[in-house]
Amino acid sequence: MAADADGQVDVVGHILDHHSLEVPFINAQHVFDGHIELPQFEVFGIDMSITRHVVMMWVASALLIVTMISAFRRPGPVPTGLRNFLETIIVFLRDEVIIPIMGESGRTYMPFLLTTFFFILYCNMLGLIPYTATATGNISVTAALALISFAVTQGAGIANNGFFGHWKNLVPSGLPAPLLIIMIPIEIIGMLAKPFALCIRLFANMIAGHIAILVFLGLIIMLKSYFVAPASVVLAAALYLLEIFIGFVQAFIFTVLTALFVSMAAHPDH
Amino acid sequence: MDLLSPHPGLILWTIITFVVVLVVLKAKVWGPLLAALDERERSIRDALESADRARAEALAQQADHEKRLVEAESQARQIVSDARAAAEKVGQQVMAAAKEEAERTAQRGRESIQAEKRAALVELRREVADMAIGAAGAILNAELDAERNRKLADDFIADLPGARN
Repeated sequence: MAADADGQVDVVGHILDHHSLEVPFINAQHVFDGHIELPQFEVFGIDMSITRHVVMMWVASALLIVTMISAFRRPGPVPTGLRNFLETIIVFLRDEVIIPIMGESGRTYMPFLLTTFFFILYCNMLGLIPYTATATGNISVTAALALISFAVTQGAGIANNGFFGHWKNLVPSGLPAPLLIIMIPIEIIGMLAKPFALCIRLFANMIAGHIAILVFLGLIIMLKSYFVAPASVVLAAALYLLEIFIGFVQAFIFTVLTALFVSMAAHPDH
Repeated sequence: MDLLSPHPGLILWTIITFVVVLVVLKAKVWGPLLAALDERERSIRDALESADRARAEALAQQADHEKRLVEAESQARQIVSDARAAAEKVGQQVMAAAKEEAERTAQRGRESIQAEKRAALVELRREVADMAIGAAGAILNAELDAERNRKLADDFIADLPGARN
């Protein structure tokens, strides 16, 4: 955590993306505050620098792939240990969420929706470890996830109803012509509002808890008093536990809403 | 870097990362896992169905066995009662035959007694006649010849009461 000599705590700076990683124990001067600079470069005029959040995303992805592959390596009929735990989540998502929402066609989208859930979950959870950062607390990351969700939604609509059929389904059929002048802009806004809401919801939820934890801990430094510490630590710890819960809930909500939007686009009549 | 301004590079990195993770997990984990889950559910459903079938079969067999048992019992009872009836009948027949046999034996006895009695009577009569002749001969030895005497004695005997029996 960045705190300078005046007792100022850079809360937002902790949330933001950086071109460096915070790493402890790398030099003698700054034992708990070392930095590793990350490469910065442009590709076709776009800044494709490997930032802290990109690294965190990769770490989360690597952890996700490693845990999943090691958990499901042995294919026997009886699940044990980690595989049992993960299968419980996967079967719950499939039987209690995705298939009730999407019907049997939900099975086609299972790999995408499971990846969405676990990718967001791992990013959320990774951000709770000290010296890491929450990639899903960056609006660019959530915007990208929302764009993917939007693309899959539109793709599902086009695949099920044809290219023109999909756009015709934007407005309910049987409306009188004059109403279309109002309805078409409204429906277009509605279509775009869904991924926008997905993006903002995940982003805001992920940074909110972090900011609150930082503010509680920062109070100790800002007020320069040890007597604040017990209350701050207790509240920060409680918020930390809440963050674990929110990490699950937000991954779940993002997945459920994506399933819902895909289903609505694929079957507009209900 | 601002809190709320999207950053195209990071958006692209996120999409690339997500797609790579999706492709890897779909190939290595989700595909086999979802297939395995379906397969397991199918095998559980099959096992439950076959268990149900086996139970129904067992129940049917049990009912069949019970029915057969009841049948066998009633058959056994029938056989016993038949046998008892037959034995009673045989006993009665034996009794009747024995009674008849006894009756016949008694009859035969009576008849043989009768015949014996008759033969004895004939014998007795002859003995008596001979004795009478002997006695008469001893008495009337000189004057009467044997022929005339016999005739006299026969007449005498014929005149005796019950001689014809």
